[in-house]
Amino acid sequence: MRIHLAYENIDTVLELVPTHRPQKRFHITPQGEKANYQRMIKFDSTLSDTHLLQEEDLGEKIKKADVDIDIELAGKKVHHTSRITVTEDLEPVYDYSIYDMLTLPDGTVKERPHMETIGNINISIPVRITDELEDPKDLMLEYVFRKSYYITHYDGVTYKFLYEIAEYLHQTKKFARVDTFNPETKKREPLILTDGGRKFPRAYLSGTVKGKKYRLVLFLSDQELKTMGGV
Amino acid sequence: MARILTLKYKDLELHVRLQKFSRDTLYGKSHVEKRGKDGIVYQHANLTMDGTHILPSKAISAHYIDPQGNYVAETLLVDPEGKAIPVVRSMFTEPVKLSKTISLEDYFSYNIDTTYILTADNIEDLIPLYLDCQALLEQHKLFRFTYVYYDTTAPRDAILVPKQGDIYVLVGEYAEPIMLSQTEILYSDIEEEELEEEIAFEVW
Repeated sequence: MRIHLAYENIDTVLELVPTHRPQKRFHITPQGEKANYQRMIKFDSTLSDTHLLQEEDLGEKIKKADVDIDIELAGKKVHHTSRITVTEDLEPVYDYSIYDMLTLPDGTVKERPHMETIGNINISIPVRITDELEDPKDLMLEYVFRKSYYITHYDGVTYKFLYEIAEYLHQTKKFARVDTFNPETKKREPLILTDGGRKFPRAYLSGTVKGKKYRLVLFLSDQELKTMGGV
Repeated sequence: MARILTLKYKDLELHVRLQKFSRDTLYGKSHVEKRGKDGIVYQHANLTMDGTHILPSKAISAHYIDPQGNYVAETLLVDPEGKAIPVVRSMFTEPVKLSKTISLEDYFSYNIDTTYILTADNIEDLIPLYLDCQALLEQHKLFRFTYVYYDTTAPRDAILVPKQGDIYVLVGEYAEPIMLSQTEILYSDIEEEELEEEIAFEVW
């Protein structure tokens, strides 16, 4: 993943690397052989509850024969499937409208035509490192940081650029707020890493240096550390 | 009602509950709905690659198979060196000792995925712990314990954060931070890892 980042009057595209990577683990059989994960079909739409329940004397038919099991199909390996939209009767449909539904904590339901989020960290308008500096302790008490990424260099010039930012933040012992600015609406916008991705209304950058080494971490938050009275 | 967790703290045994809250609790729960002209809400199903079967939810099960393709009832989880990864028992099975701390710097090496408020039947029981959490925070430290809701091979950490009279329990995974020199180029290799498993020819 890439980020178009601006600091003072310089902007450049840099690599964004997750700080947390999935641990490599494997399943083995009791004999020590590698076990592979496999998806298998149990039944298809013709034997779904909706269709089976339409049958008359279903109980009797199950007693006499396994009408709820397709011997040819059950247990067949399935690798790739496509997600489709279907009616209650499991018939594919193509003509529909999409809505975003939001159920508020008080039970009120809001709806709007669906709006797909568009990634905004690697577009022509760069993500800005602002001059708003915050104490890490205050940030910890204010926000829940779900994701974090290293911002990394790919050559000597970008190394120097990032090292200097990290050195500045290290010396101030503060985190810098990072945001995107929409010149049309003249408003800050949440960071969205990928198309269809989650919106992160708060983002901060921390910097550490040790000798010639540096670390720049982008912290992303989509939740405040607070409760709604009694949770 | 949340399960009771026993925290062993100093000479005390505190019987507490973890009350979950999340983005959904605070700002509302969102989902996407597909609707026809008559207002009927549609659902999703899976279509097999050959287009012959529509698979509703719960129509696919997952199993482990050995290299010969036989179903394996029980598997063992191992690390890349082949060493078995132990199962850690649930924290509700025995008292959890609250003695370990982390620094504020360590806190920022966690990605927090679950948030709770610590509660007790008698909320005053929590006052001494809250005051100690506050005192620790003054020194830029926080209490930490191993969080295992159900028996698991992947335990996470729970961190106690005092704020405005409440003790928040933030659960997340720790990752050792790294420093970069000019010659160390770090790339995101997640996509490549995902490509490791080749598509089998028996796909249908």
